[in-house]
Amino acid sequence: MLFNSLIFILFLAIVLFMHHLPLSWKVKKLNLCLASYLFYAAWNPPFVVLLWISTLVDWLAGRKIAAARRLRTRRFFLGLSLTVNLGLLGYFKYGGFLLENFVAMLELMGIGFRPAAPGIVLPVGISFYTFQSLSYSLDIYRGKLKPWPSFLDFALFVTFFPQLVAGPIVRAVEFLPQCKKERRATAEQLGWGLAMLGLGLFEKVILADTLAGPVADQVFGAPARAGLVDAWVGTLAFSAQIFFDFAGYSTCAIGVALCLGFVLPENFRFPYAAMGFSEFWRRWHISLSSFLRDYLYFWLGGSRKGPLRTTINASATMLLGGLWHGAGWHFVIWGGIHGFLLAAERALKSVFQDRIDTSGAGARLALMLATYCIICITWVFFRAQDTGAAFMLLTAMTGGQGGDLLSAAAVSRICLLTVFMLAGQWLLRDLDFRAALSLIPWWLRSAALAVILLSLALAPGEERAFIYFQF
Amino acid sequence: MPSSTSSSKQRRGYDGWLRSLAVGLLAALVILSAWEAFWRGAGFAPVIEDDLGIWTLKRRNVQKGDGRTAVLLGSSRMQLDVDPQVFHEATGVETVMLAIDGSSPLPVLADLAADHSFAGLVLCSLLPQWLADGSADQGRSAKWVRKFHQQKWSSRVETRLSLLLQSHFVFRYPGLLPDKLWEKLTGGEVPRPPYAPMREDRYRPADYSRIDIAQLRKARIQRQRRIVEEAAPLAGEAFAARISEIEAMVSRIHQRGGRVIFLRMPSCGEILKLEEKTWPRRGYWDRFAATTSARTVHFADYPALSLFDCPDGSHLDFRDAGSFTRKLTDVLGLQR
Repeated sequence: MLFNSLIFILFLAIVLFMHHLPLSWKVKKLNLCLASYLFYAAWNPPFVVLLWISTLVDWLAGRKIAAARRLRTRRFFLGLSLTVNLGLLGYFKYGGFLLENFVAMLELMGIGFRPAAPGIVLPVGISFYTFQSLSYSLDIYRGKLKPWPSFLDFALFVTFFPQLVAGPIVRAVEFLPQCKKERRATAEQLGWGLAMLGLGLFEKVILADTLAGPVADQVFGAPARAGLVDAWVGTLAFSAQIFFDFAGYSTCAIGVALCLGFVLPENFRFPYAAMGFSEFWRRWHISLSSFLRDYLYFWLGGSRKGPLRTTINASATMLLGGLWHGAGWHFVIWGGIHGFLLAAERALKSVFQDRIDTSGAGARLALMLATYCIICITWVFFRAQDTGAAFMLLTAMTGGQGGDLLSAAAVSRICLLTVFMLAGQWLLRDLDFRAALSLIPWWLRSAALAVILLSLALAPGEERAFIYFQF
Repeated sequence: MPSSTSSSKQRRGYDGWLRSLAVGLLAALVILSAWEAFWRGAGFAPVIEDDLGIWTLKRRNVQKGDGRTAVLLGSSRMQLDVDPQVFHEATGVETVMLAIDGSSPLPVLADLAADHSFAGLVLCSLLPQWLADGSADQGRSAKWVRKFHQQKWSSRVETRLSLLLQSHFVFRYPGLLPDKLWEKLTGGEVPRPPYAPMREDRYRPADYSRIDIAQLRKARIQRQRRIVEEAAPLAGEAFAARISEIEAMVSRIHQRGGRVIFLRMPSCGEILKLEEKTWPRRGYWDRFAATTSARTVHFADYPALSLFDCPDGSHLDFRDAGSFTRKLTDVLGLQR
């Protein structure tokens, strides 16, 4: 079920109504849990079983890890949780990719092998809920959490529909304590939650799908025909599309959860205003980068084992982060480039930090724009159909290819959108999103909300799934 | 990140949002109502968009029916010329319009042939190019058939909700959405109500008195010229193979007790001349008619069907469509 659909509006209205009935908190949690399964079943009912498997395995593994006295037993049950969750992810997400590469490797060795197409359907959001569920057993293993006494709470944590299919990835320690007492939004929270839902939908439907998406599709769909301007504008369009699409989803998710009285963690903090790559990852898809940092980078040793090991650890984390986004070499390259950028930034900082003054507004702005430009180049690998298409577009970006794909109207539309997006993020970079919006007079907020609601009512009816659903 | 929503600090952060939202919502409703009233005043009425969603609902009706449904296949000529309601009244048979504008009906026929629950009547309008060119089968109809089999329950609910909105409000008419409106206004065009709005049964009554018919006819002829230029009609063995392919579909339906009738719907003037020049009747239609076990009806062979005028060269006016439908059922011997 997409947030940008009529069926979701109906679904949410029913869920909110049920949530405000005079029922016990336990019944309300059960309602939310069932509603979440229904929400997921709207895509493919049989895949609800995968949610049950993740839920059951991590629930049992968590209890066994906590109860075990011997390290081997604790490790065994953590291994079970990792094997099941990552096994599900590996089979559904990487099965076809692994087979494809295995066949290519055999071909290189001169062995002809033609297996039948695996025909594996990727369950929507599997990368998100397997990580979320996994965080529970990992936190119990690390001693950060005790097994939760209520299975219903845990099932709700794994399946909570606002963030089930595209995050934010919520940790058990953040969500489960909220299940103790009845959650019910105040009237003001409901107002803010619904406003966030509207704002998120506006980001998705108008800014990502209507303004940026078609231009990005046009350029990335025909990289061989893109010239210098087309390639750059197409890349800028995609950088806007992916931000508004994904941040839009997170805004909707946080807003919907708040309408039900639950608080979800922030997932984006004006990322294109970052001055450097490590800052970018502290602002972009925060729930994933902090997950990878806490459970992978730190586990590998983080920055405690010297500069070389730090670089290796960061690169390995980013490579896996790239692969998390999709089963394709271009995602691995994208992750690899980000790993390299983080290492390069660390090296440059150690040499130049004391020699160059970056406190002035001009220098800060230049740093931000330089970071944004390089991030945009990395998006080419992320969005391209394959590595060949990515290199074709990069060639076009250096002027090595002629082409005339985009109209002047499309070019000016994307340039304008990019300027507004960057200016907005730059001005708000040090502010809390809600606090910043709350400074605006109420009548101006009303006017903005009226424009948002009108735009949504008059938006083209074409349904486009959120980009991150495929991950 | 706070873990609870109950602190007073947090409550302060949410202050005024309910009022902002309520006023914003009210303002949006007032403006939207004014927008709706303006276009209704300009002669617009609610219009249903012809898309995959409504087509799959109709296709599902065939699947869920008693297997004896009459199915109308084809492209825009079937959608504009044959009124399913009149067809139903004349024959007493449940009638479903599955024609798809600008697309070959053969993928849908193949799908019905493979559907073991179907043993009804198929009225299939074949344009000469659909018959003579196999590559035409890769278009929209093939995609819709594929999507029909993959469709989830939630998509059907979404379509029903969308139909509810479209059938009650003018503001959801695609031609009046801001992007299309902008295109029209910057192109110096005045937005006009559609001349062939679709009904919920997917029939599209065309009222040519609403538009500049000379301009439409000219546009149709230009379009037909483009189609003719790109045409790559099959010949010899390849055409014989295509006929056999179609015959295999027909046989499967006939074996289950169903019936298939192929129709060559009326076209007039320059359009008819262009069709005849590119896909001559003798070389294609007649050869096909002589081979297939299905009944074939060419409009030119029946005075009752050939006396109708096609104002745009390709389709009938709604004032004639009812009469044409009745005459068609008469010619086919389907009247109850």
